Amino acid sequence: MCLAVPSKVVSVDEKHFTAEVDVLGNTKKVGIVLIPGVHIGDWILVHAGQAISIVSDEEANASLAVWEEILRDYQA
Amino acid sequence: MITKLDEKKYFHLLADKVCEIATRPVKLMEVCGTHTMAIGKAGIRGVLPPEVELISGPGCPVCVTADSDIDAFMRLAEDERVILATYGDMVRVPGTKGSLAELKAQGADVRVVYSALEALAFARSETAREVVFLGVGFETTAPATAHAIKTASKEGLSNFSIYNLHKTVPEPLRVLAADETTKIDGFILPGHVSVIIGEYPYYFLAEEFGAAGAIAGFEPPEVMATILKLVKDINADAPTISNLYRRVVRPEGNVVAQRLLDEIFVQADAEWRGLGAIPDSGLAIRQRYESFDVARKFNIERQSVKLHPGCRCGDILKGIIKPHQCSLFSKRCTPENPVGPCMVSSEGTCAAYYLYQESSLV
Ligand code: SF4
Repeated sequence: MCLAVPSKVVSVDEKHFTAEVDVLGNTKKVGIVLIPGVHIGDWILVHAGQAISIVSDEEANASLAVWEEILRDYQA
Repeated sequence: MITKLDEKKYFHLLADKVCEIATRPVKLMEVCGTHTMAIGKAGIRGVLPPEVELISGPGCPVCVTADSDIDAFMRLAEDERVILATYGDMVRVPGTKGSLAELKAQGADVRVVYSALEALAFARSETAREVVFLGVGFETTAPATAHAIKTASKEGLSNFSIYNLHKTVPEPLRVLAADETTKIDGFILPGHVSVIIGEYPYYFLAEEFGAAGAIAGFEPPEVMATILKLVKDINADAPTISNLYRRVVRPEGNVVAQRLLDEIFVQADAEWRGLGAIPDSGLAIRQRYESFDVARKFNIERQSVKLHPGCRCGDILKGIIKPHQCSLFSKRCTPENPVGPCMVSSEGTCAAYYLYQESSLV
């Protein structure tokens, strides 16, 4: 129940606080009241019909660096 | 982009490092049911050294639903005036008189929905009936219910209400951290709850209880990196709260969602299966919106019941026993014929252990 799914925004309806997202090839309408400032092309995390977070591009690519850091400096 | 190959490589590198540095026993709790599933699926318990013990926590909302609530919403579903809408996991939870699924088969109007807004749509089109949404879940799910209440209020819908079971995560963690019998060294903190609440509400774990904590993603290397970070912090006797799921979790969380929660709900005591009543661990509907609270609208009483004397779900949620230590596990109690909620939900600890046959590994 708590699993949230990353989806790509394909259109935004600001008036109704909804967006259409693409989830593995299927289009779905989701609520965006919790993520003001979302744009077409953003990746968002959707849970129970509401988007709860915009996935940060910078951080998405930073995972490898984080893992490297944890591996390296293990005596911390 | 991180490829599957990278993920695999790092998973093993990180696991090797955990084996290398784990020199004394540490007990880590994965709080969230989705992590329990991810850990089972990736076979993480099988590659960890014996020093690192993973115990599963109370982070499956279905599993922590109190027996008294299960029976109360079951009675509600029998009421002919009511359409009861809820998430799929809730309909199979066994109560005294069977589950919502069984009631539905007998003619009760129970509908599975994906979101609270779907329930709202029923209320708009079927005005002669009361549409009750069984709102269950932690901070991740509660904003969707809050939004539905706010929308219903704006539209002046008078036949929509919530059976409200929403709970919050930090308070039970306080109970578990303070519990001398379980003595948890570190917490794998729930990624999607943290999207909403951010990092700060967990700081007390390190500051007051000297426990380490790290917010984790759900991919195998993300979970393994979190385990490594926790073992490092515990080894160094430097408990901190870290965030290893930064691509979606901001330090301050989702402030818009927090404001919405605060507008609709107020912290209140709540009853947790296995943990009992925990102060301020529930989200009660504020007085201003009380007409959307079915408990007030229909004057619902919760009678204290104990549904299945043999079910040890409560001890499992506290990390005291593992599922195979329950005498009913995989015999009387299976995902097809669940005895307790920990076997029903796809995120329940017993279901995860059954599915991934981890009883042989622990
Ligand atoms: S195996 Fe079934 S009966 Fe035993 S604790 Fe888990 S849910 Fe309860």
